[in-house]
Amino acid sequence: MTLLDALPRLVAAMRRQDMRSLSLADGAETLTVRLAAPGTDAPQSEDAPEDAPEDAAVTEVPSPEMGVFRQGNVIAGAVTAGHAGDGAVGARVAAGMILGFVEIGPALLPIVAPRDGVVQAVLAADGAPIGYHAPAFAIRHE
Amino acid sequence: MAEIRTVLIANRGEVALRIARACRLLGLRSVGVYSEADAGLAHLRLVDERICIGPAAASHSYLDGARILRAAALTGADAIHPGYGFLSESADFAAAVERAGLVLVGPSAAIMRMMGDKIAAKRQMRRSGVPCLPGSDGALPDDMAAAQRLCDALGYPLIVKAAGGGGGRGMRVVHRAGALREAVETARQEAGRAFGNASVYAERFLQHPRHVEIQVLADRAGHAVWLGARDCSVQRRHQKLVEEAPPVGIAPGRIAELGAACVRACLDMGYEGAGTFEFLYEDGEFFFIEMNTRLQVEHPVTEMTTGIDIVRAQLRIAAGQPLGLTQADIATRGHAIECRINAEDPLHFVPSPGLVRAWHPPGGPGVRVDTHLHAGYRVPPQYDSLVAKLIVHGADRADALARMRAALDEMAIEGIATTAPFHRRLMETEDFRTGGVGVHYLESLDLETMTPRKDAP
Repeated sequence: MTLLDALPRLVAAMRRQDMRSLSLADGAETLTVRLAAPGTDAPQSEDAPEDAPEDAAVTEVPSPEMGVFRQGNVIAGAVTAGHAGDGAVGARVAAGMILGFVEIGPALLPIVAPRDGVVQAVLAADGAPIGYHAPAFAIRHE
Repeated sequence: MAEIRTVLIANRGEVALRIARACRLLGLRSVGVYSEADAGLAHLRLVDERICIGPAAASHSYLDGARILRAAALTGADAIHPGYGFLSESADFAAAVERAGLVLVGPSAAIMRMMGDKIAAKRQMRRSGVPCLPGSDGALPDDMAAAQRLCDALGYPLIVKAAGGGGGRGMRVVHRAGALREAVETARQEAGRAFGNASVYAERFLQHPRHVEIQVLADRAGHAVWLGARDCSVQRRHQKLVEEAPPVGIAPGRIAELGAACVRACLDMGYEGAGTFEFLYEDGEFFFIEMNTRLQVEHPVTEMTTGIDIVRAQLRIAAGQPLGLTQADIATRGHAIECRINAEDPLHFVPSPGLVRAWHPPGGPGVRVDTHLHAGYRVPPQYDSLVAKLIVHGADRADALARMRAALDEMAIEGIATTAPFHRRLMETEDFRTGGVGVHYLESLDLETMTPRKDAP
């Protein structure tokens, strides 16, 4: 294991502690990590033009992982796995509510509403593959 | 072995596009995988299905074998083409693909593992009569006195190398007997830390070698052919920048002997797929350094001189089809040169990611551009900086050089710095025009003026 192998964990720990600079030595190797301020991208030769502003009244809810999309079934504020249908569209949801799941082998990861609103669309097909951070639901804000 | 219907392309950039094209040609369904930084990649428009596998960090996307296999299961892929780089030479990944009941486009995990161990690879090569550098023929003994005796008998200068290594780590050149102990100890420490294997071996160190390699194709039924040689001596810090076929000034008969030895080695070990035997060449002698068990960046110069589509051949072999070629069917014609166009500053080779505002590829007879670039594409900072390969083919080397100069002049890219101006200057140097420069050639030059450095060794 080299210092470089530990880099992802070091960077994560630095972010948690709000550290900007760190130097470590291990035998002949020295590693100095300097982090840009949060939200700063790596230097690029030129910035891309800004994307067109999205519909501010709608939030897309991404899948947290790559797997099989399970839509869930929103009934009176409760969602259960394995009950597919378009019933979710039009359902009123609250921040923190589970809208659906992504299935990875035996595990089901919840797809959680980031804010209150009404489910405007289900953007993935139930039982179909869904990509990492691919949009799963659209929520219209109240 | 099951028939191949769907190929997952476990790579990005120009090679992913190259593989997607070959799949189209063969009527195979293809799946593109990409990281969050790569949603705009060109091949994703050409594949039949695409899926985002993870965040921008390669360790959680293209280098994450479990994610690649999950994507294959989700999309119904029955074969995986690893391209080059990333997981293409990981024996552990190859074994995981085999366990999952899928086909890896490449040799078996066992062969990858053997070729990944430099000592085992060299032993295998000697068995098949492939020329190797005189060396310790195994790991140096732990007993330093015994190691010293062995190395003194080999003579100096020699190089101490990590058995499981590459990329210059765990490597020390030793010029005199008194410096051996320190070199071995440092190399062992570095090798242990970098590769988890502290074994090192020693072999003769060549002063001014050229890098010459042989491309092979071998099928499951025990047929193998060699497709000519390439010279990849123009390198900077072990990274190739220019490749050409055939190598200048080496008698075709010598290359043919070497090619025949490589074919023998393929048959002896039961090699399957495309592969490259890499050699150092000095004073008329070839010495094996390693075998790459995958497609190589520079494969197009061989395709241009032989007319054989190496990626299509790889896919056919993986599907269990016979080569359908004998050595007598293979002839090389003319001369091909490839320049790697990297998104890097052309003097210091510092990465230059960013937005490509305009892209005008060159064209015309004998000009090929393998690239995923398009205007509006943003080169991400996370990955290898290769953005295009400019390949030319001419009736002879002078013709190829003229075409390369014209193509480099015609090519225009705005928004990012690339290595194209470096290549344009290189094409004008007398040494490169004459041909046959060694692997240390660029180190000896002041890259601004392309004249010998005053402090050159």
